[in-house]
Amino acid sequence: MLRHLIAHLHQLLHTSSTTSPTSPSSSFILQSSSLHNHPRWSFLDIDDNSVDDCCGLVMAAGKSGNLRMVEPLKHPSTKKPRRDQSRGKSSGRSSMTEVMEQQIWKDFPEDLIEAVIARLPIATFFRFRSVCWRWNSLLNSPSFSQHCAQVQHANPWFYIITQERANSGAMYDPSIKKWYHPTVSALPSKLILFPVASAGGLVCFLEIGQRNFFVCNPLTQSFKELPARSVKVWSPVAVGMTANGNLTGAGYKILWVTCDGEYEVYDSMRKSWSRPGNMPVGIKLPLALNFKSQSISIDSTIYFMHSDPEGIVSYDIATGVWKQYIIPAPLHLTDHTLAECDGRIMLVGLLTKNAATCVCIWELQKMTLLWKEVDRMPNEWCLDLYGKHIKMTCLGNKGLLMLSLRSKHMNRLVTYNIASREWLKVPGCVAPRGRKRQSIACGTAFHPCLTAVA
Amino acid sequence: MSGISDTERMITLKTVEGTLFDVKSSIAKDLKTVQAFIDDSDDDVTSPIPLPNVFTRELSRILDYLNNHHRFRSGIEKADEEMARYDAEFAKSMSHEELKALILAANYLNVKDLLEFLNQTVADVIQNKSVEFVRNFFGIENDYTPEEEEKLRNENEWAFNGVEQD
Repeated sequence: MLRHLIAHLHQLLHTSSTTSPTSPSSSFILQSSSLHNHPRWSFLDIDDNSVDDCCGLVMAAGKSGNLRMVEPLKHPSTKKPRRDQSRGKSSGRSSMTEVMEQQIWKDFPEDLIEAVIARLPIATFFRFRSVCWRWNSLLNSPSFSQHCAQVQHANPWFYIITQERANSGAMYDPSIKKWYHPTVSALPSKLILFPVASAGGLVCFLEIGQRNFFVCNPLTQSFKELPARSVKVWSPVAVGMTANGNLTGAGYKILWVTCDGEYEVYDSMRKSWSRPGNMPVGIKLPLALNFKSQSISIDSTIYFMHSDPEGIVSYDIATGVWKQYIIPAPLHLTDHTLAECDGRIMLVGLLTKNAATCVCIWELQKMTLLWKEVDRMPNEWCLDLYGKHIKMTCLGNKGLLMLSLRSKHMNRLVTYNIASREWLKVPGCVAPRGRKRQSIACGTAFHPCLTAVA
Repeated sequence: MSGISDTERMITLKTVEGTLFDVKSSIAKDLKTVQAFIDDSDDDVTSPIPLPNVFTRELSRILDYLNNHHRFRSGIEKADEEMARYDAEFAKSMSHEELKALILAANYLNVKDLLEFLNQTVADVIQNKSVEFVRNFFGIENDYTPEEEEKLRNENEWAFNGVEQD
């Protein structure tokens, strides 16, 4: 059938181009006589000199294996006029390539489409949920979840709460330096919740009264209120979180601990809290836990900072063992917090000597249990802090640190990449439809994972 | 097949067109489908392994990619930049039809790294496009009602900032 069509085209071209062999007549209509067997074929009006188009269409039909006629292009504005052929072959081929491209990906296997979607930027994925119902429900698909698990995101995202709007959060993507303000808040809006820890793409929130815990995937609105703690303890708690494995659905564990050595572990698979035991006798109580420092987790161990004596306590969730490390803190240190990068334990804090303030980074030397300074904020930036009373808050301590530096007239945000030692400025967080930079109260880093479920 | 060291065996692969390719066993390991075939065979594989779904053009490109990547990885530091440049050129040199054919071949042969790279390339093509473009691209029908589409758009509004409109 195709051969007949091509022969027919050649015939028509020759008969219509009596005056000039290279420029066929202005309009070219496929004769319906040869097409009576295929009622789906439609008349096609083709512009000047568009012999190539015609052949392209025939080729496309041939390539796709069936004689499906391609519809006229939907976006005529993108089709370049043939007169522009002087620009070179590429512009002449644009309409033909577009036509061919429309055919190429139409029978691309579903499984591979999922692999492509899993590699889109996170925000793009949410846009493309509007493509069709199937793409919208990918978040519940185990096969899609597996594809997502194989994608390595270079940087964590940050979830923060601002002081101006304490009951809704904002998210920052450092790869493209963009703030997002989800329109539907993932969390119950009447409560004020503070992000205190994160693991496996999920963020753990603690209610302002320190009573109830919530777990949420900031990207997908999936959230859960955890059952009440079995111990009615209202003293301040430090919180840590670990993921059970790399796959979503493997579950997570949350640990809280107080200065008196009381602690409990929540197991998401069992959906319950348990009290594994008491702190070992060797750890002197009460512990002066540093509540402003976020905890870190490396494999199954969670680390907390304390002072008096200065050091770190750790709890291995897998073995249930507490350990304590006495580590002298650097002098003149304030606003410090633990951080981690590829299994390395770090410390970030403000060093103030006389009137000069600088942000410094230390790494824990495991053999000697001493902090060793490994980096400082660039001098030019430190000069801006000179003589001011600075408050620093760490908004994310996993691999990429986000630091908020505030004084009476200054509100600055920076990120520090521990591995690459790069300091970058962060654009201010501005509310949607607003202009003013907001003050960030607290935040945590989290690994963006579309399929993590609370 | 002369000059082969004892440590590096050669595997022969045969494409649809009947072309034979001699491949070092260290490279063949990256073709997981082929490696599984070798592992499953009781004796040493001496005759050419037929690949009924793979054409010469695709196998040639795949082996090119693997050979280059092995070379980059075995060298010293600077390889990351060179590798990135090679990858960019590799992706650019193909038309969409060739890209798709290569993905299907890499999928069949289970060449993990290459497949990830190619899928990422397609993702890069569509990432800044409109929803309508993506529907046309994959030949997907819009099965939302206008109300559903509006509601979905509002829910995901935060992600739409700064992108070409539908």
